[in-house]
Amino acid sequence: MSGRGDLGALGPGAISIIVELADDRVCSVRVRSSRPVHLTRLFLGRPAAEIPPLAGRLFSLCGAGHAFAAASAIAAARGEEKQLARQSLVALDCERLAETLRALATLADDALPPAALREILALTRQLAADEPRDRRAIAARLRRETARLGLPADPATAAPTAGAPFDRLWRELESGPAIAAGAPDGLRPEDEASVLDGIRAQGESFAAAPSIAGRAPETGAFARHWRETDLSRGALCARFSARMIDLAQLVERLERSTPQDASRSAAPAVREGFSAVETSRGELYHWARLTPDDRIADYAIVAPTEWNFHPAGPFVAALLGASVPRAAASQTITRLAGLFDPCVAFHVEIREAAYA
Amino acid sequence: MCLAIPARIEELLPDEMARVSVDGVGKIVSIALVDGLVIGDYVVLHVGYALAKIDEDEAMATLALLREAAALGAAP
Repeated sequence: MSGRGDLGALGPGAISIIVELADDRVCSVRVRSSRPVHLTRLFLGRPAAEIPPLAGRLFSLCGAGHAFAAASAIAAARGEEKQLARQSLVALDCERLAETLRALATLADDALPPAALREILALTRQLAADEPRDRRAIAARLRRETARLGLPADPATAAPTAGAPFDRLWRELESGPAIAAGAPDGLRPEDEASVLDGIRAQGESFAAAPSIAGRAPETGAFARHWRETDLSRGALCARFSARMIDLAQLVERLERSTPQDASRSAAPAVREGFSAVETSRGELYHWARLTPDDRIADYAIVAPTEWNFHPAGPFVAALLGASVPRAAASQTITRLAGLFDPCVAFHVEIREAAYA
Repeated sequence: MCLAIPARIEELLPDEMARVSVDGVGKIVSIALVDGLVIGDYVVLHVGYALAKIDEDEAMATLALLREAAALGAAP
């Protein structure tokens, strides 16, 4: 391969989580991210039409979401009507389902059988492809495979199927120390003005650590579904339940072939466009400013991980003050982080608080 | 943002693992989530897992983009 080593230090980065315990209680949480923040500089000066496929390729973990958000933001900046491509919405749902399942698989050793996960990921790729002729059959197989994992039709009211992988995972989470669950401060459509202000005023530094004064907004499955969960079971179970609810809705939509466009886009100024798209991990924002000849003058992406793992964000808030026995702290906190589901690797380090 | 890096399969190992090359740098990753990989295939990597097979042209185009991004990041 030519260009060996030219990537230098560029990689996906990672999130470091350092938790201090005092008498088995979390007294300090430090979150640091080494994620690259300058990647949207690649877009500057390029024809706007190049950006959706480029964003999808570069951020391929949620490539459908990024391509969709880029296309919507650019369309808004051009003053065009939103073009709804049904298959793009199906691809978004497939990507969301696949990424949610993949994250759940990391919560415990052998949490989900690799062969089952591989089969489901392959089915989502087939469904996301352009107009598969056997769509109904693929969606029915997807329903069967997720049912085999133990996913009930309505996880808000029914437990995972006894003995199935989701049931084992649920029991595993339930048997550990309970971290109290509270209602999240969900990121809302009304917050978009604040997000826009942040992007315009702070650019890359806002994208790297977005915040809204006086709040710790959360985005993702728990923010979407917390009202349907049983908070009394603790943060791990409630968050797992929210993910199962999300999965069940996605399977239902894909089976009925009724994709929904929950995205929003707007043109806050001339040649400026903004789009918000719901992905597996939460709201993904793209913002573009175009030159008169339809090139990218300025661009920003605010990804859900940056809200959820902000140094003073909801993950930190969920942990601070929690009672967690030292012996179980690493596993419990790693699982909580896994349920917040950052889109990069993360590492949890537990320390005893040092007193002066 | 969810950057995923293309890698070339260099050696298939037991237990659904493989040695891959990421822009010339060797890594051991799990290939449990992708069927039918052979030496020379390109995959997208994320957190120690191969997530999907991609063709060589796509991998080269993505690596070219990432090199460009690396150079931009190094610029003052």
